Amino acid sequence: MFERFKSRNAPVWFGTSLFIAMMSAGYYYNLTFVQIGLEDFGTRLLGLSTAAIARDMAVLALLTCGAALFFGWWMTGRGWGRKFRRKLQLTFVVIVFQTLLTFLCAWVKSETAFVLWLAVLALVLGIGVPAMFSLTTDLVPVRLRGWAAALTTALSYFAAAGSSGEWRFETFRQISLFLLLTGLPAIGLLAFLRHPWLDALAVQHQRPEFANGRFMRGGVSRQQFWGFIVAMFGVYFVDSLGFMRLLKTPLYMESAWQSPEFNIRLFIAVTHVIGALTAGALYTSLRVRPLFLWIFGIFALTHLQYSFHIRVEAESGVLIMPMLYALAVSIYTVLNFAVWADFSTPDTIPFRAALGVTLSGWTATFLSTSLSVAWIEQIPLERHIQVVNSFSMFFFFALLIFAFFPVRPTEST
Amino acid sequence: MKPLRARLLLVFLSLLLTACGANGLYQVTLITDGSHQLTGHYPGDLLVLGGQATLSSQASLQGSVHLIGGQLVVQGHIVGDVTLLGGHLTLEPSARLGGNLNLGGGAYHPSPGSVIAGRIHTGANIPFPHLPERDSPPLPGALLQTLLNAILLGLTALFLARTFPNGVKRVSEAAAQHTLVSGSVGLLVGVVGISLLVTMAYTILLIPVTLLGLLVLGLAVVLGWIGLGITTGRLIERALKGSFSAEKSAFAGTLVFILGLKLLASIPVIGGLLGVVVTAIGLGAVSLTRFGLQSFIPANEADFHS
Repeated sequence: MFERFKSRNAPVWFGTSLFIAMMSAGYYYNLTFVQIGLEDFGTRLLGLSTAAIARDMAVLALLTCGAALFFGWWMTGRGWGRKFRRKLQLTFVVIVFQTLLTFLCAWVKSETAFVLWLAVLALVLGIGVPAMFSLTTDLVPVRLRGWAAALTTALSYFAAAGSSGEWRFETFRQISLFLLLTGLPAIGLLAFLRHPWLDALAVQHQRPEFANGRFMRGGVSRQQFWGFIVAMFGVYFVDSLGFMRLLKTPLYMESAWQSPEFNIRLFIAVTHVIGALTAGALYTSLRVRPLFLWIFGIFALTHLQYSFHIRVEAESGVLIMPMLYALAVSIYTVLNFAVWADFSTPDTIPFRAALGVTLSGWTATFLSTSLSVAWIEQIPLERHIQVVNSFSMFFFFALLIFAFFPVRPTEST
Repeated sequence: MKPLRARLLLVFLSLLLTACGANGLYQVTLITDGSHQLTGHYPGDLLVLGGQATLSSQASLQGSVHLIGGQLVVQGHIVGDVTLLGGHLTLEPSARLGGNLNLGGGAYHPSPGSVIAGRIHTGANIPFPHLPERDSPPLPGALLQTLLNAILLGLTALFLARTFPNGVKRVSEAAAQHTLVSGSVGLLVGVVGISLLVTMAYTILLIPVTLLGLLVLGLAVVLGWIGLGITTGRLIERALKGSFSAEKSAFAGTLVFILGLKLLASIPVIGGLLGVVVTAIGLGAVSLTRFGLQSFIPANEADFHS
């Protein structure tokens, strides 16, 4: 890593920094405005029932998934995985629409308008996912992908966890608009201007150190790729299913993520940073299965602790539980940012990134969010957390069992 | 199955057998959930974490009661103390407490006819078990203690360098050549391991496993220090441009490393953190090499060079 500093290869560092900035801003938008803000918008400002919100969010997830898969497939067919400028221009268009939608949502006053607004947002996000993720093979060399993913995760979670204890739609909308309006001219300039650095970035995907993802070098099997999607689906599903319920439990939010005390929020934000940097170091040095085992193991332990805590009817939260939660979340987010490009080449990345991010990330997150919102009125908190814990344990032991079945590395996807 | 794996499995299964003893040194009735009617004679303590329990008028409990959550209704006889930290405690008119009643939290509902033979302590007046105070020894004593610890660990390093040379070498190499990865893994093992052990201890039933886990974690930390000590020994050799035997190098290196670690930890504000970081590197190296049983080869070397 440090040899690259010495080589003063400015376009490489510029490209990697650009990727980190774009992805962390995008992920911050997704984490705050889309995932938490829209739920708050629907329930508090539009007065929708939890069931209606659950249904609308599931629609958003499925539409985003469908749009991303179609657009990823379309980009791959047209060879846009190798067209750096085209992808940057697409990203610019996506940001323009995101800015407009974020601005206009203040005028959404009915459920019909909300669903229509969500449908347009789903389309925009569906284009954004393959366009932005496929920039990885242009901007980040394989050796630096773990670290780039770590910094992206650290920045977005630090900002999300540390910035404000008040998780309200209005706050998220203001911050998101500020980010979008700041990024818009910058991406616009990069997308339409010519500069030697940008010309250098446009051909980087032809270099082997950018083109051949980490898992492509020894050959990758169809089983490995789909196994990875299933594992990531499990991680996202477990996380959102548990967290969206905790989000509705004042005891656990006000003593941690939404604490009025800055020190507590800072502690969680710093834990996210440490977790992300740890995962960055481990991503390049460990096989991926141990990382998944760590993630599911930590989730299982955390939910077990929450389950105990609920059972004893304690009147105050314990910081170790959100700390472990933050650790697991940071580790898997790093995996998500690095791994899809490492399973791809410039020719295949738009569709594979779309498959990975939408099938495992978006679908799992929003399906589990919908389920979690629906369960709030149906099952008690303790039972809910126990179900999440069971899922974590299931994935943990399933991975352990699969560890005994070697997968032959052959290129077949 | 490999002999080592078979032995470990045997040890694990033997541990399960220890749970078969009918009457242990200590007995406890644990209630975490549901509704329970306690009607018999109970020789041990009662710990209520949740749910609802009633100690009926014919029932007696020889030990103490600890109510942390849930609800307990007492109609019978409790020989020991009753400590209320959370939940609801109701003393019916027929209730008889032989010991003290300690009220630290939760809701207490007494009845006029209930008898409390001991004292009632509330809030901060709850007496805690007496623990012998441990004063920090004077400076010469502390220095001597540190030196003795360092010599002891140095001798352990010498012993391991003679009996388990490849193992300690693997740990040392992992810590020196893959410091960042070792530190990261060590941090995870430390944080998650301690959380797991504390959670297991909370179940009471798994306290023996917790103790075993603490022992393993402690051994891993010590082996990590020895691995780092061996690296230090190599650095000393290089600095002195000399060549010592592996045992001497391990002894001297570990001695210097432990003294250096103590010095590092004594730096105000950041000393403790630095000590944790160094310990995490050693712990991670031990974890990556499976207690020195295999060499650590990073995945990226295989992936990037294939």
